[in-house]
Amino acid sequence: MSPSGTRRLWAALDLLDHQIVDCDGRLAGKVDDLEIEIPEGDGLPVVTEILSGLGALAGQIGGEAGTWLTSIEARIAQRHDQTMGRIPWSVVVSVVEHVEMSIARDELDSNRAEAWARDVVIDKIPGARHEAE
Amino acid sequence: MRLSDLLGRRVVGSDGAELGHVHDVLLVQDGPTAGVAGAQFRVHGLAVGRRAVGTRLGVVEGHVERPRWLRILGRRGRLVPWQTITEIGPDQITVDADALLALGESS
Repeated sequence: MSPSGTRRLWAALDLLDHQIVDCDGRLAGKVDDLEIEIPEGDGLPVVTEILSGLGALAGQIGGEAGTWLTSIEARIAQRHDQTMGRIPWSVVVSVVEHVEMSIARDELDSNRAEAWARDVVIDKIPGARHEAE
Repeated sequence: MRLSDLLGRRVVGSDGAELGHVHDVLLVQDGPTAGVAGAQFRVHGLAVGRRAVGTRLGVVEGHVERPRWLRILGRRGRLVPWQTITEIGPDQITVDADALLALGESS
């Protein structure tokens, strides 16, 4: 907390790579980047979205590896007709050790890499559709 | 703009002085209210310095009391207030050296 009582965080130390948990307590990815909006005039920039998933991680990595990850993400996004994994601040419930959301992880675009792996790879394996015993 | 656009970026003063690189970004929850979490976080400043060993290890000044040598390792360099930034370029961030001096953060 700052002297005025408002909460202070170090973005890289206290937010990046921290776990995102959905309204049912299920793991929903990690914080890979933040979208920051710079207002017109002299105001301070505001964190508007949490970015999660391969596409956001590519921005952190940079270089050729980042470009490669971006192209993979673009292919998956095209297949699923979805946009990048963005979690608007309006669905964030709390930021403590983890980031808690008010919605289910299935509603997030950030889980599309996992969904793609499930639909395209895992489901093709014989016996993969069997219920867990 | 993304957080990754700021982290690692070189920072120079308007007088040409090299300040280091951005190691972290200070967020304060005093923005407009949005959703159940309350106020949004706003960017108040950049932790800028030449070394990032303490930051990479998660040792932050103010968070570590003992041993004392770890506190030295955890020094983040200087905090550059957002208001002193004059330009965010593709390669570097330029800071108003006079404004930084006026705020007691000599470059």
